[in-house]
Amino acid sequence: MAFIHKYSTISKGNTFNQGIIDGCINSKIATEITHPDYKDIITGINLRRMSVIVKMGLANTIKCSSRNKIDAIVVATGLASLHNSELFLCSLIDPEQSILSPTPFINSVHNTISGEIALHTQNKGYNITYSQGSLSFEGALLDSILLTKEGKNVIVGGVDEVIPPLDNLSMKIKSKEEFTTGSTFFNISPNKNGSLAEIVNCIITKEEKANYYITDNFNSNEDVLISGHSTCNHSKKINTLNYSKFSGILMTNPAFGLQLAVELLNTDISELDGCKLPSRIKRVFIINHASKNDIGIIILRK
Amino acid sequence: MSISITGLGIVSAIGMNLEENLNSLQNLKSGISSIDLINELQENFIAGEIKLTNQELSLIAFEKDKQEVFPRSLLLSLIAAKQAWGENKINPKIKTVIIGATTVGGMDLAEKILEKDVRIQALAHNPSGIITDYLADYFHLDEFKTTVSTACSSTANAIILGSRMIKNGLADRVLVGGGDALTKFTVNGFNSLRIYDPGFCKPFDNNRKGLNLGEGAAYIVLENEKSLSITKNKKVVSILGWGNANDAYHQTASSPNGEGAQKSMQLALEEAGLKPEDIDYINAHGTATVNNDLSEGRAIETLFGKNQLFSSTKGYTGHTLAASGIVECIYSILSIKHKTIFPTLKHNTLMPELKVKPVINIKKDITINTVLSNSFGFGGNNATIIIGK
Repeated sequence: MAFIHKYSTISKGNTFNQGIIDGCINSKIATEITHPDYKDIITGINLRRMSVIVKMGLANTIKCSSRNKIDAIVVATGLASLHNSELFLCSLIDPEQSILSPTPFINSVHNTISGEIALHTQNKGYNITYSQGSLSFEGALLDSILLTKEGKNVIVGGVDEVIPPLDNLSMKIKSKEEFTTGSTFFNISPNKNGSLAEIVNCIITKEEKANYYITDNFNSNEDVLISGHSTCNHSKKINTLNYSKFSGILMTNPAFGLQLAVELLNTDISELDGCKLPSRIKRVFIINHASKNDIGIIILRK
Repeated sequence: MSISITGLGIVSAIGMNLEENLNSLQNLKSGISSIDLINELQENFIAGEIKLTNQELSLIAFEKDKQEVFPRSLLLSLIAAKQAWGENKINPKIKTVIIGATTVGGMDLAEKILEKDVRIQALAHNPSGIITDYLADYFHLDEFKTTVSTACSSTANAIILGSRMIKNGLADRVLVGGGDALTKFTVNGFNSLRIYDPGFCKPFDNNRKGLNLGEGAAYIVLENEKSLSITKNKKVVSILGWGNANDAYHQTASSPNGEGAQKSMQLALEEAGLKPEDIDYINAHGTATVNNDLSEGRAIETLFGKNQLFSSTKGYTGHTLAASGIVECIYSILSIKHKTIFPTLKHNTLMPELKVKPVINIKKDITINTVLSNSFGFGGNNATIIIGK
């Protein structure tokens, strides 16, 4: 049994302090990513050399783990620090650079995020990083569910960043949503007491199987479906909230969708962004269509 | 509950299949030589390079001419995964998942494209998941897939996830492994950290100067009893235990006393229900960096005592990064099957800090029931696997 106890998102709007519904969806001014003041959260170290994705992951971790012994840190990232990867790649072909700086090389490695979180929170427990394109977060969440079965108190999250070449790409493919930077983390444990929601299932499967699964399991009278894609097939039949519209495009945004789902299960609103909500939401289905051939499905209940 | 290893596939600088790797190990033949296939490196490096071009690898992988261009890590992974998967078939009664691991992903293609200054296309090859995506489609594995990226401990952690998924009933059969090709990115990267030995690497030697990189890929098939009863595959050995712990000491270096390494080995012993004296041989991470070998050596000595048999096989293959964990798991299996400890190559001078001594001459006809294999990486990511009969 995996229960969500805490969440934290850094995204467009003041999500870090107000959550997604108030800080982003209902906020008229939420267009830019709003970073918290990291020096107030991450203390005792020089932040200048820390990459943006590490700062986001660490700040979210600290917020999710207050007064809480953490046994495991699980991080998902689709592309890790693109900024540092690009910096080191470009330095390789720069004839002016005879001595390479190792800093961008170290910071480009995917597990730098989970490693630095462990280092700065002095956490010596289980530590892992998953990177499976747009399905990176589902892999991390599945491991976290396993870890709660093993009795562990887990921090799990997703983080990705945008760099200028990706901006050009979103213009080129005329995507409605822009590529963006963002991060969402959770504290998940086997303990039901005081929890905000329970993770019922987390699967990755092919589109056809996913459609059968949703048709068989979804009840539109009491369930809500939130999807990462506006052209989601199910949207014709079912009231669908599109989380990418608010998070922007990043490979780990199902984590953003999951926090939105937790918030939905814990608020009393009848409508959000034009989507009518059941008076008592039983379950939320988070559907991730961003991968070419595969669908990620996370199901959550109160 | 038991987790059986039934299929093995490996490509490395000392062989393009299991038999060739065994033959090189038994004949103390190193695959480390000058790098021929990567141009314009900053210095003359030596490495465990597979002396086949991508075209030649593609022909082996697909058994026919293929026009498409693939990352080198993907070609290596596909060759190894096909050997491991063998005659296995998809069966709706056997829930089969795939777990991959890589550090560089498609970085070699990114480097080639970047030379023509097409930045975004270059970075499109960065995602680590592309290899697992391709293999999942190739073998029609559509239940669950993911890719671990914890630097040099990636494949060890992939095996750990696969084992835990079987233990907890989330999978019956797992195709697990990973691969890393040599790239400018990693060769120059490790050199920028000043831990790349321009000569042959000398694990656990007092005069060690650093690692030599290598390239390779390896995959194994894990099965539970239910899967075995349907596939009728023969168990080679079992996964007995595993441990994952973080050193939380430094971004790239290990703590001087190997606290994370000790914890990871201790957890693996607990999971396996074994005592230190039950471990017949340790295949060490042994990268030949000043830092790793001292830290790991002390951790082994503290936990297992000064008489523990251990060696590093990095001198045969070079450090194959993400692949190293599973490459060395397979070498550990060969040690059990062929009653042989493959020695640490190029070792001359003992480290004065250690009482425990690496095996430096081949040991034959020695009964080995249980082996512990270590993989430690950047970010303090330590992982240990125990395998046995």
